[in-house]
Amino acid sequence: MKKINIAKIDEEIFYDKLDNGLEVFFYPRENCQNVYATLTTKFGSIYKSFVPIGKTKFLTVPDGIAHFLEHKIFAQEDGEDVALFFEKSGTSYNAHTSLKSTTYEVSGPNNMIQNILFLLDYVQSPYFTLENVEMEKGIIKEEINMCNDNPWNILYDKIRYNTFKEDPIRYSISGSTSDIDKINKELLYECYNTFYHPSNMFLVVTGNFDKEQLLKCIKENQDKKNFREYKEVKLKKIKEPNSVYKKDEIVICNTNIPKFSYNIKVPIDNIKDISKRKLMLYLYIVMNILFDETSEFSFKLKEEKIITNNIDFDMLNTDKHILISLINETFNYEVLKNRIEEVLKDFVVCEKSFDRKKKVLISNELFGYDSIVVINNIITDNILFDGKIENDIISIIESLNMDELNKILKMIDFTNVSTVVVKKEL
Amino acid sequence: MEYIRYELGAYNLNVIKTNNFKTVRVEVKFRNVVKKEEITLRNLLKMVLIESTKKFDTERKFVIESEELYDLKLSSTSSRVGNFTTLSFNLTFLNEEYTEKGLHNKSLDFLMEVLFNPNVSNNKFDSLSFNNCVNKLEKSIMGRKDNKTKYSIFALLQHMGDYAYSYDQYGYLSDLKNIDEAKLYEYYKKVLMNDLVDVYVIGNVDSNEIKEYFINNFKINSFKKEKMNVLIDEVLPRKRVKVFKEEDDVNQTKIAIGLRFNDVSEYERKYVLYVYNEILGGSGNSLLFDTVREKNSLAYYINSIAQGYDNLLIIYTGIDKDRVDLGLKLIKKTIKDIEKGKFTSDMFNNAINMITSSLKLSLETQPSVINNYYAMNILNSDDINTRISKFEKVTKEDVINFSKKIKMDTIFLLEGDHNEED
Repeated sequence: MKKINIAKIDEEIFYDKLDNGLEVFFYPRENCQNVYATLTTKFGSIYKSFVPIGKTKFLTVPDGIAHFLEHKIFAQEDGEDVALFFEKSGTSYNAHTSLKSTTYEVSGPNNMIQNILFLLDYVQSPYFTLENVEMEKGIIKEEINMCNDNPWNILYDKIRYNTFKEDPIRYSISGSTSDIDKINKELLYECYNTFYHPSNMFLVVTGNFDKEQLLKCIKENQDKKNFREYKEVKLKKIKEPNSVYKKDEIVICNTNIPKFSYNIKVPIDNIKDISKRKLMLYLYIVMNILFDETSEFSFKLKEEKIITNNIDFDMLNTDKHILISLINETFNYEVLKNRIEEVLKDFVVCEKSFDRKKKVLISNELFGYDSIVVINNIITDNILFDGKIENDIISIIESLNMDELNKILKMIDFTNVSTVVVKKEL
Repeated sequence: MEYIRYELGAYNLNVIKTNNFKTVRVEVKFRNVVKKEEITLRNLLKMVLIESTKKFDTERKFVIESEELYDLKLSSTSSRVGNFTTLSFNLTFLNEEYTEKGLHNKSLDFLMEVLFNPNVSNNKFDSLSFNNCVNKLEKSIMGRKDNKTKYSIFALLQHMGDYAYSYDQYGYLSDLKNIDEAKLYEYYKKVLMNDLVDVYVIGNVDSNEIKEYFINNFKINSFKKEKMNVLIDEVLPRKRVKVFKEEDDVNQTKIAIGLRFNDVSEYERKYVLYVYNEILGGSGNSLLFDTVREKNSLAYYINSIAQGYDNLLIIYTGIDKDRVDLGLKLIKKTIKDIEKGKFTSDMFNNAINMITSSLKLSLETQPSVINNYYAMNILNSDDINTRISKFEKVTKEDVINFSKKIKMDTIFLLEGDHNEED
């Protein structure tokens, strides 16, 4: 196994790539009892148009299919029921689908090598039938109904829908109830066969385990299985415009307090000579200095009773764009919008605040290493972000400087904005 | 892990020394009995004390200071077990070997500033900080209905009597209107004077140094005697289950069901109840999950929660309007099935395995370790190892006997008029 030293945090992660292409990342720790394992495939809701394996023509799948597939992976043709198997050893298990990936997780203090092998086994043996696919539709529709009863979900879905025009990132992860009706077992197999190849997946294990023994068992397990040769999945090229799809929208839904989001779409192609990771760190720092509870802005708006809660900050990235969202719950969203605009028209970042925010970022890297769940998430996020573990994040944060920041800020158009309001009535 | 308890008269200091973490966590807990008229005050106090202090007299200065201290995390929480309410101030900071020498004491100083040097002049809290918090609290009371599932459980409990569990945990707008800066300061002094106080410190620390620090800086000096009873009075279940309905603009009907149990032993309350709950609706392999979701495709989620000191168990789910009757029928049948012993030994054993492994994992995070000791101190709970071995000894008969003492009492439905095509 290859050892990766995480500089300045005094931690080690081990890495190997198996013959079938599956990448494994281990973070062993002795002073705990738990083991937390996640198996991730790079298949989420954004993979909407692609050439299925063995085919030549592009296929466009219904929204929500990655999430539907996640539900159906638990179905077993023979062998033990997944829930029963895990609960025997007091093991928790779960799965979740996001925009870019689907992750299956197990966690517990007992029997973990067998549990991880079982996780690989059931994810790698799909069993979709007419009946079990139809049966799942009722459950998933209730999940969608549950989400549609939550105004925050409606807001978050609308933010992506209104800022992007062509990129499938604009669509909801779970799809609508009518999308669900279009899903069948053939489509599920097409997606499975195309995206669930070991070369498109990775396993991350953190906690108390013997890394050599675990690796040996995983290799034995994988060597017994046959996988076809892997070919990079051909995805439909997207031409996403730099402008936002829709500038302003008010969505009517059942909520007592209006929710507001101010979304800036930043094209990254013309910001040269700087990595996306650094760019996102700079944007994080700037937006927090301008709008979080340490800002003059937040202080004043609270004093004037325009807002009552802190402004939340969210960031999303695609190959070509970074989406920055400022989110707040307020009746005075129109004033808030104008005030944000005013600030972004003309601002200077104070160096003292800049240095303090760097300290905050570094501290939080250290805080993260207290929990094997957070460490597992850090590794997974790194792999999904650019395929590798960033082993010197502290130095990257330390290298951030005002000159570079000011250079970047000149290249960003802060007026490329879409706003969304979710409220009870017009 | 090495545990030392110092009984310092006016309060107890509990130090758990371990090198399992890169951080140190401190929790200061104020405990009293729940009083309906004090809930709003207590929530407001919880917010105002971590909004600003005398030295850092605006939220802005306060948060900047916490960032300067290597982004230490300070939060305040309020929780309830039976009749007890606990207001807790929680501090987490990086061990100084990762930051700089002297940071332990500086971080503790910050917490002492929060607790004992509030932003008060002329016996009144600072108006700006006070008003910011009033606005925030008002909004969380108004926004409570945004989470339909939580709301349906809250509404259910309101229909189950006038007890600590049926009070609004956020507080009441009518009470909020009558609180001012002076009244809140009065309440602050009352809490310091009358509440029982426990402090917990966990991390790689020197117990003696911690003790010295608290003796010199922790200004709690009124002696109090424990004379409260945690257990909420038993209530006999209704002869016939009562159904309450409320209309709302929702896509799926939210169902919350309250069950009551009576005449249970301490052993049943602390152990058998949790095994029963795990089998009924505690996990993805429970009877309810299997019947309502997997076999009949009626719901995405269905769970049950046990509240031992309230003598209550709650089931909650979300089901399409047209299939609610079928759902309720299946839930009632599932409850009956346990009484008849219709659950497999596998299921029974798995339930115990799930509980014991989550107990083992409660030693992994600082808040759960503190919680274990707190439960031992205030509820007379057994230690983790004893709890694990007692759970392992629970029998199927114990569960069946217990199931005969629990009865459905109230059903609450939050229903809309949406059709699937909408």
